[in-house]
Amino acid sequence: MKQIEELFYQTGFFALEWRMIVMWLVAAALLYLAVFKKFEPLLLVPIAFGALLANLPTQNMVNPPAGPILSPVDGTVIVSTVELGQTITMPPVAHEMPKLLGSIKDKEDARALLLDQFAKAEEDGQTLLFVIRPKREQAFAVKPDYTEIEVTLNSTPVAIRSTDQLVWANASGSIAELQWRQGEEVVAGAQLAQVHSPHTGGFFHYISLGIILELFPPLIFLGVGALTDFGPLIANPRTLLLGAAAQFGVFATYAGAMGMGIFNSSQAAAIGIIGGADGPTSIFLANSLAPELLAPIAVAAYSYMALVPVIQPPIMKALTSKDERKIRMKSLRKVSRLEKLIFALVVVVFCILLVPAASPLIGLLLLGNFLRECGVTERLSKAAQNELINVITIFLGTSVGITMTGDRFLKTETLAILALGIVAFGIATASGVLMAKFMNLFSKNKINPLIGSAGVSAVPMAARVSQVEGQKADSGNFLLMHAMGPNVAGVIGTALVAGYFMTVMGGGH
Amino acid sequence: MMIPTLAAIAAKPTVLENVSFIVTGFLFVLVVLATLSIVTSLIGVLCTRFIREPEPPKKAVVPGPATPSTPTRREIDADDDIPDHVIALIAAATHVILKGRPQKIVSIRGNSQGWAQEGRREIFSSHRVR
Repeated sequence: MKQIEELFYQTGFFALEWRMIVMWLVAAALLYLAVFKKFEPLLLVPIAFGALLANLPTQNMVNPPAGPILSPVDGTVIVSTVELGQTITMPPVAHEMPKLLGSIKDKEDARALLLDQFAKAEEDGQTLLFVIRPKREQAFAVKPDYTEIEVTLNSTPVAIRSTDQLVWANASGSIAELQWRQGEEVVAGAQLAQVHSPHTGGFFHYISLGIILELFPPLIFLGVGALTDFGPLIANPRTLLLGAAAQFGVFATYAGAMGMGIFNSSQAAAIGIIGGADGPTSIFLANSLAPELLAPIAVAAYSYMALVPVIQPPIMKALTSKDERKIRMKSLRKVSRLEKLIFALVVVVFCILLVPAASPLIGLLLLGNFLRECGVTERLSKAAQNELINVITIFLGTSVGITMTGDRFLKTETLAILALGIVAFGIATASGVLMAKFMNLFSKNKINPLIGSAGVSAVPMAARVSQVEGQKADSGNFLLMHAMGPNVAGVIGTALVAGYFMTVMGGGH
Repeated sequence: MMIPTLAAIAAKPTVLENVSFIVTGFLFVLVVLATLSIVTSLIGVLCTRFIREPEPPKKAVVPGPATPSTPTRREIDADDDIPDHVIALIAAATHVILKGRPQKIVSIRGNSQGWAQEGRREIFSSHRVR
């Protein structure tokens, strides 16, 4: 009987929390939209399923393997709670613990949060290993209070600043090596200790490395390049301006994020790029400028990309008249293979020379397109269009979804990013539509403003929305190929903006 | 030689710095894509002027303005073995599909060899001539 009782306590039911249940509802809503409303199911199903997995008391799924504990900054070890041979045990459901409290301005707020987190960590069994005091002042949106906060840790009183870096255990095991002790100076990346365990990390720990190591975004771009016909863009090059105009959403959102006062300029830039509606670029930039915000930015970018058919149509309708929506555009001329090949080469050379920081994205996008158009690499082109992009989409979608844990998702910062993301999409859509209307003032060959919304990247979802909305106004109007022009221009434009941000913000890899 | 670098923006820039950053960035994207648009147009002009793609064979009859009346056998270039009621049926079908928009059927050709041709095409396309 006792064994049955113990077995019952070992089940996942005891690790359930209210946040997980809330996130089940979020995952269910996303799955409903994907399966029954057919909103980009190829993206939304892996994301939603990943979110469901993230909010179950899983084992061997996301936990990292035991390994070296590294110092996040140059500084001094002011607290060390570990001893050689000490055993560290992680709870079944590990919470994300704060790495520093510097973004909280008020000392009392920081103290309250610190005490709350320490109590929670003790209750859950999470271990604070080191506290490092940075040598140099770090960048915060609001200047924090640098005075010390008195707290008790393991019955020992310690004085911590809100800007000190907290190093928590992230894997179970025993301390096999201990290189740095209290009072010693360390440099960023130095190994503080080594945790040993025979257990390997979870499945998604390894899959998510594709995001962290920035392998997935360029590979997705390779597939997108191989799938996309640049012909409509080449046949009607002025649609490049629609793609450029839609990038205004990125800059407007940057301004909004800065205005909120809780993000610094790098974080605001990483959030702003959500407006480009380009998941791979968002991940690429977030990894470079604000890795701490990678999870919510990726979730916002991909979720909103999937929800383009919901977000865009009301804005498109509000900004256009019925007559404008009925505009039939002149048929596109046939573009020769040589023209497409020259275009791919010109774009890759021109854009990489301008923004070398965006080379992995632009380089692989145009490589994929060259494979498609050159006509002699059919097998490679088909692999990039099908097997490669499908496999990466499954891995990327589930890896993004698995970051949607309740305690990470249901907090002010994440909700602010989600709110800014939807504003970014809205402004980008509106900018594209308005640019099309502006161009019509000077042009003989009128542009249907509905294709302006496709200037947000989201290939080919945004172009499909233009087609659907165009057909609602005039069932005989086919805008899909016209909308592919600004859609492709949006991809190039977002990659350029990302390159600009990385150049100015000093982001690198 | 000193290479001038773009000034890095601070973590907490002033409003003026932010505005300058946004305006520069947006103009940068606009100018680059506008330049790309001009370059693409030039490539298009050069390619259409100097490269002649093999032209598709001309259609036998150029479609004229729409006729509201049902086309007669004499107006349509059709095979003799296609009966009149099939021609009328095709005309009705195109009328329905095109939702009554102006249309004119100029030619109807039977393709009795279709399956055999498809078989031959598949066989030939499965081999690569080296």
